[in-house]
Amino acid sequence: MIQLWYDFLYAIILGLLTQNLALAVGVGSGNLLKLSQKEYIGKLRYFFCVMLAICFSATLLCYLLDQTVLQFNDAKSPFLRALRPVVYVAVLAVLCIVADFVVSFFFPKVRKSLGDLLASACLNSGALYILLLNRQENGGLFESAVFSITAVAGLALSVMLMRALRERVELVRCPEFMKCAPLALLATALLSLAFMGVANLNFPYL
Amino acid sequence: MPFKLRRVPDSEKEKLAAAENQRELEEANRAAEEAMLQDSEQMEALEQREELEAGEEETLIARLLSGELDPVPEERSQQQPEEEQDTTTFAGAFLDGFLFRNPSLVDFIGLTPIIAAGFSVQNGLILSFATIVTMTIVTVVASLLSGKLPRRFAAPLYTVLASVIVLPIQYVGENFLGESAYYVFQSLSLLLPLIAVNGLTLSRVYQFALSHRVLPTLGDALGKSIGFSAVLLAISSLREILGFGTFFGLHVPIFSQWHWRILTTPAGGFLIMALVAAAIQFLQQRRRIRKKGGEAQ
Repeated sequence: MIQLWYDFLYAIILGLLTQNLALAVGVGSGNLLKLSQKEYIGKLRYFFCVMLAICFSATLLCYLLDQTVLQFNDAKSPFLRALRPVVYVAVLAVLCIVADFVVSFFFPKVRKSLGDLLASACLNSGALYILLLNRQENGGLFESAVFSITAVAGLALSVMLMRALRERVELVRCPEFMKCAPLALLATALLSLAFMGVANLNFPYL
Repeated sequence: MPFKLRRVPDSEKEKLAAAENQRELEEANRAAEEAMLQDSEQMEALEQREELEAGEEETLIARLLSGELDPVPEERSQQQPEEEQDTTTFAGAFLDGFLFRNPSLVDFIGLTPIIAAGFSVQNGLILSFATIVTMTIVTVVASLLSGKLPRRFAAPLYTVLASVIVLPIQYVGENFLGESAYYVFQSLSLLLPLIAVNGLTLSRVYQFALSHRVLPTLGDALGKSIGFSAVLLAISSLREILGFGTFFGLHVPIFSQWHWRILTTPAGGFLIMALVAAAIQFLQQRRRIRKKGGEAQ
């Protein structure tokens, strides 16, 4: 039981802070800069809901596939090991199509507002990185599932922090060549530095 | 008969002055009343306008939150390129992708390889090669199949295709290029597969390949991917030289004395990107000023 709680807490801290996808690892930084623009404010909640659902279900599916059919971790053939990302991308692609049908059927307005963003919510670097990291670290089902949820929550947290930061940064008086993108990138660098402060956070075994 | 001036008695003078004062007072009062009327009208108009604006704002916010409305992207509009390039030809599409709308410096798409893995030139070269090959093949196939495939299946299908293209690159690198290459590819085992789901490929498929013929698509894909690779290589070189004091594994005389390890982290990647983007904006501004000066002369 203690081990379970430990895994649970560790996965939360890992996903939200120490392995924060966009700011601590740098995966999904394009999404971070894109989604923190003004035009995407209204779509953020839908984006992250879809991404959360996709990552969670893909984690479960990939775990089951690994344990039953593929058994990649025990595979001796290097080709089989190299095939792992392709299988994961295929799982994400199938889930993307399913999500497209489900969202179009039950929430047509949401589908219309998301547009091509739905595909990038399902098929982005962050989602694939979560699956690959879970398998590389040999995480259990519970740990992997919690990590997938907290990692997406961490990405959402970083996007919201970034949006708040950009709103303030846009009002700053600065040289003309620093406006817009360079200033946003500089702010991201500072935010990333803040997250690096907790990168080595490690709490002893209970 | 000479004209005789009649002396106006003091009492009449006082009466005249009083009447004049009265008239002035009346005029002043009328003017004040008119001004007050105008003010009140203006106030009413202002109030009505504010109410309308507040109503509009509320509806706008509601529409924005529901995702129905796309506000004018100010940040993007400020980053519009100066010259509109003809993208219907191979050369035009190539130049547009490589220079005028460089994906990583203008649109900031697909930054994962630059920020997460672009801290050494070796990584930069591998990721650049993978990006160029993947993007070129995927966008050309998308252009060939455009119209024959429903739009909703485009992203999943082309992503799987991209991952199939990345697979042999990783496999050959890990198994057939010697021990040193094996270690480099092993260190990239988590990040190289991410090229398949890079936002750059998907965005070009949706924005260009599905609506253009094969040759312009090839030009656009090559231009965008080579432009992206140039930025990736430049930034990874800078990060390796300043962060590790080496270039391609060899010591650089001056820089090997100190190491700014912070530059090898994602925060350093963002910082270097910010400096490069600022430098490019500065150069563009100077070019614009020179152009204006030339036109004025």
